[in-house]
Amino acid sequence: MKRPAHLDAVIVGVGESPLGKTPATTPLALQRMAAINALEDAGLRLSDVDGLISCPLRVQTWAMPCAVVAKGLGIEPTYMSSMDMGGATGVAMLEQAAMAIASGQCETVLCVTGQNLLSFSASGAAVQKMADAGWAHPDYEAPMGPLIPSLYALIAQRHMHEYKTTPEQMAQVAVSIRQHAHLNPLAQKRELITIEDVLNSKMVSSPLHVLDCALVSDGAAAFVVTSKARSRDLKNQAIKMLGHGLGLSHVYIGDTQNMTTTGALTSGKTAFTQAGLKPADIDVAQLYDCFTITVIIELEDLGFCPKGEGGRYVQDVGIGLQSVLPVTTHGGLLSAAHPGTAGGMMHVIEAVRQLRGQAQQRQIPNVKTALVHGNAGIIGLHGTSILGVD
Amino acid sequence: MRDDLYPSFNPGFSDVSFTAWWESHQDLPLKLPFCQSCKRHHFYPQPFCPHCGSGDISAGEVSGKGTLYSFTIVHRAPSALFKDDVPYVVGVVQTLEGPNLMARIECEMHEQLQIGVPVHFKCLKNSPQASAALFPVFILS
Repeated sequence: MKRPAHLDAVIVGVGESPLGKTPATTPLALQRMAAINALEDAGLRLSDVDGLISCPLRVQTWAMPCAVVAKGLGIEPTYMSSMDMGGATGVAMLEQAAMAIASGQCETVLCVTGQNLLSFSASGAAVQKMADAGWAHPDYEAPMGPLIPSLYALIAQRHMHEYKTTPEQMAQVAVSIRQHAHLNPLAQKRELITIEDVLNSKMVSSPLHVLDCALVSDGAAAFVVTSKARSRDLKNQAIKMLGHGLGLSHVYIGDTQNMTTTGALTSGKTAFTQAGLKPADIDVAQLYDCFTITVIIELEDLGFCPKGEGGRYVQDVGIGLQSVLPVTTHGGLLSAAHPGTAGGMMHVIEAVRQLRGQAQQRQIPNVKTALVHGNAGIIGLHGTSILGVD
Repeated sequence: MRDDLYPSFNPGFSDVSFTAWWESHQDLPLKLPFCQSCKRHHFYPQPFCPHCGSGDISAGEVSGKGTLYSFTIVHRAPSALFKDDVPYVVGVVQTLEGPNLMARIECEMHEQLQIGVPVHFKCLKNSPQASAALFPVFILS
């Protein structure tokens, strides 16, 4: 396949707001912090931004999110887009920004979103808000009371049945990703945990314990994409986009006849083909980790291990910093932060830091290629990006 | 304007048949959406057949039998409205006629729950949600 020309855009800046619990901070304030950090990281200013991609929130209803954010930042971009691809948004933003630049709509695109998902209201409100957000079918699933974890628990239970995956193997995902968060000063949860801690933590919706589930966090994330030409006089190493892919299998989990094979199969294949690479060529993978089972299935469908072997791969080969393929090295949604859509953008940010050699204590030596994967809905919509440096 | 862009709707069906299927079809035997064009059942209800795109959908009687495709025991209620129900079992039933559908599963002991076991339709139940939508309850056969 010919490499699409729009992939000549590059990532030049990344940044986030404080993460975790940041009381009395509005979504726009968090987004401004992330945006300024990403622009400073690039050596750019708000006045350099002529393209903006932002997202709807869960904590407030915004008409035209991109316009609200543009005005909130005091800019009037010539290219704007409001995007909601769930957990695949971060990856999809990269591709859309690159296409906007390639088609001449703009030269420098700021992608930003974030919200105070943890602090916006009393405890428990976020769980209810998310349960009502349409991830479960509003007419045929939500009325019987599944949590979002319940919808993923159905997948986990089925995967255990089909492939003999164990709760211990799922727990290992949480343990390894927590080890990465332990080395990330920004992470919300840094205390090390054991497999027993996961298995003894409160059962939310069997077989998923609370430590099998993503956090609820305040926070915002941003990155800046620009043309290769514009990147030449910027201060940080430009990160190349080698391949992108999207894949859709279903929207509602009751609507699929196969819960354990996902759109990651297609998104991964497309991204690898564009990049001219294969799974063994990837140095680090920032996989979407809304639940421990998600990581196991992504490892399979992206081709890092055979179908059904994800649990045993995590147990025997490992996903830690010393393993052949370190996974989700910033601590992910399970331990670093999950403020909604911005959570999946942080996997992009970490891939950029690993490629630049700026991941501090959690740096993997000599990273040349990084895969970022976003998963949206109930494991139905997927986006894969492969990033690299020369 | 092209006439063939207008699919042939079943005149007996209204929009509510697609958004409140269980409320519209409470009488036994159990019914699932059935495409008169490709002769297949589907779920969820929608105005066009997900298999062939036909708008000729009717309510097709089904056996109410199936197997348990997956299940989860919900220990934490999504909102205060569900607090009295906890713990409850949400499952996906693979119906004999083909479609999967989400249902509450009732059993005497949770240990009896196993993927692949036969289940059958028991009743429709009112959701504790404000909308009071109905949902199907299946039991182990």
